[in-house]
Amino acid sequence: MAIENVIEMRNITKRYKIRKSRERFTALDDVSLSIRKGEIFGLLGSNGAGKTTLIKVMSGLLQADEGTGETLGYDIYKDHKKIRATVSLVAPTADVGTDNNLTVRQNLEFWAVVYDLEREKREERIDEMLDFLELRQYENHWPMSISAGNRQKLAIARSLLVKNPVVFLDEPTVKLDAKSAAAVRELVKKINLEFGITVIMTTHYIYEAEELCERVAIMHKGKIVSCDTVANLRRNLQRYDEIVITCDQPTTEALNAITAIPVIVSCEYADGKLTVGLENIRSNLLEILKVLRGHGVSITEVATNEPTLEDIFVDTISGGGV
Amino acid sequence: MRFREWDSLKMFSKRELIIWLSYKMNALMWVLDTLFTTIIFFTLSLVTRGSDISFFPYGSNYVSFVVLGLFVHFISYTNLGDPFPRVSRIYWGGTMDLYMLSPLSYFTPMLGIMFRGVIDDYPRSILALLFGWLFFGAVFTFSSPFLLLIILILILLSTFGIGMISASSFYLFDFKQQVEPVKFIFQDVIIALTAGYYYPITVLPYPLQVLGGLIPHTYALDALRRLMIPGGDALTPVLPLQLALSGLSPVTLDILVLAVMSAVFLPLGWFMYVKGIEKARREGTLTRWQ
Amino acid sequence: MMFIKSTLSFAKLEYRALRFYPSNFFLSVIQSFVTAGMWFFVSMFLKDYAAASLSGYGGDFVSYMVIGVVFFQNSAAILTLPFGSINTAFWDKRLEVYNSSSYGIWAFISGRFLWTFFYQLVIQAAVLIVAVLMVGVKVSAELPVLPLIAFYLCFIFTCFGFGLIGASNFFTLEVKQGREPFTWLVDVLARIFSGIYYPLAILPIGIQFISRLIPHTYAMEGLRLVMLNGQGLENATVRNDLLVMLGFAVFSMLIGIWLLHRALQRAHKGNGVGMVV
Repeated sequence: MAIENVIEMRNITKRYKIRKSRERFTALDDVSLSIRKGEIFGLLGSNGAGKTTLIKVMSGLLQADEGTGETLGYDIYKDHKKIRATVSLVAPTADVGTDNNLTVRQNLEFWAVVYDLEREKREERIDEMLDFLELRQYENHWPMSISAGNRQKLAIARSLLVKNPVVFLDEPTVKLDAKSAAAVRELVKKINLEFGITVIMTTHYIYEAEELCERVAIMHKGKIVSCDTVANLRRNLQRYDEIVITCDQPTTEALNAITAIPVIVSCEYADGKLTVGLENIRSNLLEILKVLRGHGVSITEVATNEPTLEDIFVDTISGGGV
Repeated sequence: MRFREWDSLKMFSKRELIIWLSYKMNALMWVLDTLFTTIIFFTLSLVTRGSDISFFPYGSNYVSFVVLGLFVHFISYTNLGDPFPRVSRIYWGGTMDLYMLSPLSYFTPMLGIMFRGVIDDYPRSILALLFGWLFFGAVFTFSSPFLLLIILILILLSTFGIGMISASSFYLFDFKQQVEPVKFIFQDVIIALTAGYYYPITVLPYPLQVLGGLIPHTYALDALRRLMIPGGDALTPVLPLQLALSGLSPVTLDILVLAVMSAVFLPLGWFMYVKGIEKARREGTLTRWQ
Repeated sequence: MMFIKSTLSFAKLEYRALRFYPSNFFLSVIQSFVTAGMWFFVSMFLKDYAAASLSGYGGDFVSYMVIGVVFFQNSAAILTLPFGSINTAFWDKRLEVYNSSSYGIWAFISGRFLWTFFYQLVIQAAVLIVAVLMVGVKVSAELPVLPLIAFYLCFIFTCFGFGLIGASNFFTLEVKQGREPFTWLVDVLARIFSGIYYPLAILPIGIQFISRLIPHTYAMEGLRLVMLNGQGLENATVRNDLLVMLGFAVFSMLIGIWLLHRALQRAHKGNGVGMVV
C-alpha cells in the first residue's frame, strides 16, 4: 500500500533535563505535522526553536515524551530502529562523520559499507557523488586540507550514498560559498525530482526555503506557529502585494477607475508615487498600467513589492502571523 | 551475526588499519616501546643475578614472570580500557547519530573502532613474549596448550565484559568529561596494584591480595605462570581463594573463576551498554550535536 | 607584564576546568599513588637482592625506588605538556585563536606549565609524605632544602625545555597525531639508563656511559644523595650534578624556545597554525 504521508507527527512533546537541575526545558510543545511523500519540506525558526529536536524525533534518534507519530509507516516508539535504517541525515557541522585520517574517497567508501550500500553499486555511486558535488579533484586529499565548504559537500555526499526515501538536511548550505550552495540546492531538487526522495530541511536562509520548499513550517519556542505553502503563508499574512508607480498626479477619475478593479485593496498617491495595494500583482499589473495610460497619466517607473518569506517569518515570530 | 555486520566490522577494521599504518613513526615507536619495556624489566631482573631467588610457585625466572605479566597487561589494556574511550570518541565526534542511522547494531561501531586497540595491543602481547624469549632469557613451556587457550579466551572475554560495563557508564551514568570510574578503579587501581604483573601478589598485604581476587587478571596470571614457566608448581595454593577452597587444584579453580567472571561480566556489560544507548536516546544525549 | 597576565589567565583556566570536574583531581591523585605503590611493591619484592648495589644510598632499595618514581612522574608530566597542549588546542581549533594575540601560544603553554607544575608538586609531595609516614620510605632527617629545591627546579625546567623541543616537532615534523618522537626518546632513555628503577651499577659496563648523557641521571643521583643521605653542596658529587643540571636546564630551555619559535614562524609562512578552514 503506498504511503501518502511519509511522516505523521501528532502532539509531540519533548522536554530536556537541564544539567544539575530538576527543571526541564520544553524543546517541543505539542507539535503536529504531516509531510507528504516526495515533498521538500522546510523547517524555519530561530536558534532554539526546536527544529533539530523535531528532526531527531522524526528520524528515530530521539524519543518523544508525549504524542504519537510514524515515519515511513514505522511507529516512532516501537520501530525506531527501522526508521533509523531507512532515513539519512546531514548534521549541521561539516566535520561530523568525516575522518581526517582517510582521504575523501576513503571516507565515502567507509560509509558506503556502514550504510549497507550494495557492494556492486559502491564504486559507481561514490564516483557519481564525487562528480556531482565537484569533489573529484579532492578525491585523494585529506579532509583537513580542504575547505570547510568542501567538507560539508563531503558530508552531503556521504548521506546521499544510499538513496533512502527520506533525507533530513540540517542547515546543509551553511559555510558554503554561493556557487557551492547553489549546487547543493540544485542537488536537493535533483534528488527530489529524480528519485522521489522526501527532503526535510532546516535552514536559516529564508530565500533557500522559498526556492526549495513546497511547504514551510515556522517554529518558535518549541511550537509550530505556521505550516503551509509559501503562497498561502503570504496570503494569510494579510499583507498585500504592492505596486509603486512613479508618475504624474493621476486624475480623480483615474484613481476611481483603479479602485474599482476588484482585487485592489488600497490606492494612494503621495510624493510623486502612486502606491497600489492588491491581492495578486502578476495578474493585475498590466490592467492597472492600462487604466493609468488610458487616463493620460505619464509613468516614469514601476516597482513591485511582494511580501517575502522573511516578512512572514518575522511577522509570525513577533506574533503577527496565523 | 548478519553478513552486513561482518562487512561493516571488516570496513571498520580496514579503516583503523589505514589510520594506524599512516603513522609509521608511531608504528615503529610502538614496537620499540614493547622492546624497551621488556629491557627495563630484564635490567631490573639483573639485581637478582647470582642469587637463589624463587617466586614459588612460579619458578625462578623473573624475566619469564614479568613477560607473562606484560602479555596479560597488553591484552587487558585493550579489552578493558578501550571501549569507554571509543564510545567517548564516537560521542564527541558526533558520529553516534550517524552510526545509529544505519542498519548496524549498537555494538558494531564500538567493536569496529576498538580494532585500533587490537592492532596496537594484541601484537604487543606476542612481541613481549618474543622479545623476552629471544633477547632476555625468558623461557616458557607449552605442555598444556589446550588449557592455555582456554585461559586466554576467558581472560579476553572477562576483561571485555568489564570494558563494556565501563563503556556503558558513558551514557548510563553520564560520565562524559570526568574520568570513568569503572575503568579507573579496575584498570588504574586494582589491576595496577594487585594483578601481580611485576611481582607475585604474595608480596602484597593480605587485604590487597583479597582485593586482587576480584579481578580476572590474578587468576589468569596465576594459571599461566604455573603452566608456562619452567619450575612452576601447579598444585600449591597461594591466592586467598585457592587457600579457602584448597580442595580444588589451583589451576582448575583459576579457570572456573575466569569462566564465572566471563559469564557474569560479559552479559552484564552487554545489557548495560544497550540500556545506556536507550537512555541517551530518550534524553537526547547520543551526541554533542544539538 | 601582559605576558604574565596572559599566562596567569591560562593557568586560571586550567584551575577552573578542574573545579568543574573536581573528581578528576582526586582521580589523578589516586593514580599517582597507585603508580608509586606499584613500584613500591616491586622494590619490596626485590629489595633483598638489590641491597648490594645500593651501598651508596644506604642499601635501601625501597626508598631508592619510590623517590625515583615520584620525581620521574613529575618530570614526565612536564615533558609531555608542551606537545600535548599544542596538540589538544590544534584539534579543538583553538590554536589559531590563541595565535591571534601577541603572546598567544607562548602564554598558553606557559600557563599550562605553571598550573601543571603546582598541581604535580602538590600531588607528588603528598605521595612522598605518605610514603615516608606510612610505608617506611626513609628520608634523611637533615634534609638540605636548598639543594633539593635547586635540583628539582633544574630538573623541571630541563624537562620543560625538552618538551618545547618536542612541541616544535608538531609543526616541523608535522607530528599531528600519536606520540611525539623526541620526548618519547627522552622518556625511553630516561627509563632505561638514568637509574629510576634500579641502580646504574647493574647495567652492563659497556653501556653505562649512555647514562651520563641523560639529565635524568644527574637529577636522580643528586636528588637521592640529598634526600636519602642528607648530602648538601659540600658533597662534590652533589655540586657537580647540580652544575650539570643547571647547564641542562639553561641549554634545553634556550634550544626549546628557539626551536618552537622557529617552528611557529615556519608554520605561519606555510599552512598556518590551525586547520584549513
